[in-house]
Amino acid sequence: MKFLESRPEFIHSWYLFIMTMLTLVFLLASSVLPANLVLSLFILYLFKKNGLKNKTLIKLAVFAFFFSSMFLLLNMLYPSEKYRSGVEVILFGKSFYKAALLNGLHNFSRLFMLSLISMSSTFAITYTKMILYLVIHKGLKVFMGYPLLIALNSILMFKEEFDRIRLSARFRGLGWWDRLFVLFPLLVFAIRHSQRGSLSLVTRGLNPNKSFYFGYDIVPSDRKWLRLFFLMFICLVAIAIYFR
Amino acid sequence: MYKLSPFKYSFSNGEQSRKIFLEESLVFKKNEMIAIVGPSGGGKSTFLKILKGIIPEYSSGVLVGDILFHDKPLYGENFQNNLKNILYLFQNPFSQLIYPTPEEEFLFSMENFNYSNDQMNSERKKFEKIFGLESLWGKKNSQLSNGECQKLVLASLLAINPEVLLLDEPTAFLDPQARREFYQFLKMIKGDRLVIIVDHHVDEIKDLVTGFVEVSRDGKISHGNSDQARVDNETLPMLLDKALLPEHTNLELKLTNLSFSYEKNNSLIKDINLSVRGGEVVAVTGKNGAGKSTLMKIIAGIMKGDSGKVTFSSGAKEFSGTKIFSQTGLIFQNPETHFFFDTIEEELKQSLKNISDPIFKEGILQRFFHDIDLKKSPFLLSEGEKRRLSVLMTVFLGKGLIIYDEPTFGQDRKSIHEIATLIKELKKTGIIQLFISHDDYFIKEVADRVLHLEKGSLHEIS
Repeated sequence: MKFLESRPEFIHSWYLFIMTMLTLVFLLASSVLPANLVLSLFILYLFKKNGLKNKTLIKLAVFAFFFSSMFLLLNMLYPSEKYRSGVEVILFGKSFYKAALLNGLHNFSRLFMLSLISMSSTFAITYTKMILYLVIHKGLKVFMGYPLLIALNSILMFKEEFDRIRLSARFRGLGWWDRLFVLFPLLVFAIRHSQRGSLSLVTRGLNPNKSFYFGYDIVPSDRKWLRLFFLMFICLVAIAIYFR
Repeated sequence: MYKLSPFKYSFSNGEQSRKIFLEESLVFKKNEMIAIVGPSGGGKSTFLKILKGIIPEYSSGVLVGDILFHDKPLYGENFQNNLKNILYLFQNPFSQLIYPTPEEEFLFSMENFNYSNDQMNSERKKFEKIFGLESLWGKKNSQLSNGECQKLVLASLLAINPEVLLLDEPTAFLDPQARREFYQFLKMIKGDRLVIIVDHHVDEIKDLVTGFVEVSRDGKISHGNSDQARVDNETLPMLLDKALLPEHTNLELKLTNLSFSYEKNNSLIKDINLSVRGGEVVAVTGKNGAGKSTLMKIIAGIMKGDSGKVTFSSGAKEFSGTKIFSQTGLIFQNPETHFFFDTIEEELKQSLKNISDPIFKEGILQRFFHDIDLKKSPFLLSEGEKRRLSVLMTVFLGKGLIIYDEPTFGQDRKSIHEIATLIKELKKTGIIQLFISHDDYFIKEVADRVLHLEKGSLHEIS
């Protein structure tokens, strides 16, 4: 294997992070579904180009669907006062107000896009690269950036440790009551991990004057995509304001 | 280089708190290589932390006395000044990881001390040769085995070329070949700097080191020698005759054409066939990253093989795949994974519930822990003590198959001998015991059969 930077990216993670945040704000604020859909598809395209796999996307879409469906059900079963009038429709042998159903579907679509984009972003943005870019180029202090890096990288470790602890409880044949305390060793692990991580940063000599082997630089094609995104974003904001 | 006047370090403010102390002065000079020996749980790692300056700089304990490095104390401003001069390798290599990939991890120490890209490239090439780091590039840190991780962090530290190297069991997770290479490397750098090493492979390092320091069980630091690290293999009292452990009969573990791979076209385990009978103790050896832990997870029913079958039969009953889980006790590499309760007493109460004989319980505790406070949190034990506790907690659960992942990591010879004796005694109950180890002494002591995993295949070594 060659000694290379972690993962080649189609678009720099810092720019993708900015785009994702703006998209999420737009999806929260705009109720014009076609505009939301266009922006969502565009950002999903960038996520895919940045390494989001089809299988993962489908899996996340299923999660987002179930989560949003709950909201749809709530909207249909307990509509607010203004949707409790007008035509009724029968679905699965139960009658619902048509206005409540339409409002529920509208909210369902927005929530589906919102949750899908936010979940997918974690698979497309390389947070290590983003944080190091901010440390090198944007003045983020190393004493803030590196602990953040350890915290983000420990998420996977926590999942693995949680699985191991649960397995250990099963191997020992602990009862359901004792298994509830699985959080105790995980908490100890979290405290110890943060303690060891910070100690490691200190003992390995982290200091503000450090050099960096990899530049994590932004390249012209990144800027091109950001410009394109801003252009599209402004147009969609205008459309959303016009049709709201 | 180092001048240590008599000092005392208490782990907390209380009168009763554990201490480590030095009664006569010690001097460590440049060009020396010192081995710190002594029983596990004595305070060897704490002594290294004092030499690094982490204690008292980042500790809640109390240190009274002078530890001078180049005639200056190690704390305060001097701690920062000595960051590059004194480097410290933690016992658990995963504790030191910062990045998600080995490439960035390797560079981290050099970046901190402002190395240029050319310097970093030259050091990289050097350590790629010494430690075979090329095999790590392109992986994620979470995919590394303990041994690979140890090599990576060690290489990253050595690339800085420090004045003092403090190594806390650097070879604990290395396979014998990697361990020999590491000692060769130490031989190479010997003379250029002061190396202080905690290592239980005393016989292998005794010709390499220039002196010994002993940290005894009560925390006393003194001049030592290689003999103090050895123990006579005294005949420990056999205890299991008194225990009312369930006996197992006609147990058999069978692996038929077992294969597994994490990535397509890159098989980690290829077409393995194996049969182990009740009462057998089988050692699995192999290079770091060969797939030993993965194989054990598949046998335990935690993971599934891509093809083939694992069956465990107990008399007329047969278990396969994930059903084996209920018949297995697995001792994880990280002992903290085993702990759920506030005190050691509670942990053991649950695990020793199958044993009714109180004399046996007391005897086994005395043999494994000497003067242990059972009201103490298991998380506060030394790494070696944690490991022994995790072994004790698992082997008496009445399971027919026990799997140990590096049971002797962090153990002194006496403790290894104790664990070995326990395994030999457990054989009498007819259970199957499998273990992964790089410890030749331990393997020789307990294993009936030794299997070597290499390039996905399992070969029996006579």
